[in-house]
Amino acid sequence: MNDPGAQQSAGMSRRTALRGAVAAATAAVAGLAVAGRPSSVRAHNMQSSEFADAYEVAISRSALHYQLYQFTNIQNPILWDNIRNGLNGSQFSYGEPPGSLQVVVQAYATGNIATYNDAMWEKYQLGAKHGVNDPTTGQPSARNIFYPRRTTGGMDLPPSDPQSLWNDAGMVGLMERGVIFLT
Amino acid sequence: MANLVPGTIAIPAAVFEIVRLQEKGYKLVVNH
Repeated sequence: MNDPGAQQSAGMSRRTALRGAVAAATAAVAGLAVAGRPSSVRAHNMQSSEFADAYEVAISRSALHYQLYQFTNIQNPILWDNIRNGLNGSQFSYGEPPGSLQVVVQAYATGNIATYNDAMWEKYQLGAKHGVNDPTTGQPSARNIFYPRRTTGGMDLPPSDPQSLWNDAGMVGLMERGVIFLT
Repeated sequence: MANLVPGTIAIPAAVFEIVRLQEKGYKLVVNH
């Protein structure tokens, strides 16, 4: 119906739009770490007015292609590689500039737990409940194994380097490439 | 938002949002 790029607001990039949300969430997580007490956790149900404008800017930024993933099952492991391969196909196979492909992942049902932080994974034993094992221990995971970087290098490394950002299918690495996760 | 990983955006009614994003030009891709 609409060209998402045509709706982009002047002077505000996707990264700018998300930076505030990321900073706020990071601050919240840091606060938990400092306090170290569950009693410091407060529920906050965001009102649409708190994120709607920035969100619309983020999903409407100018791009050549727009992909949407429906992520309903945490046991579907192909999601992560599919996203990475799509981005790499655009950039390295078709020679399109970085950022040409905007990817949004809409999680729901058990897919939602990929967007929950480590405190939730530990408190509710989400790994045991949903059959997700921590590859470092082989035991049911008490942390979000989908979130951290999986490679150590940056975008300065070539895609042939297995440690480059281009080979990272973790959420942090994918978000560095512009992927938006919704929960 | 304290229970979400940094960068995640909370959107109510996920299935409706999938429809809305497609109406805005997003292509729903096969994911299996």
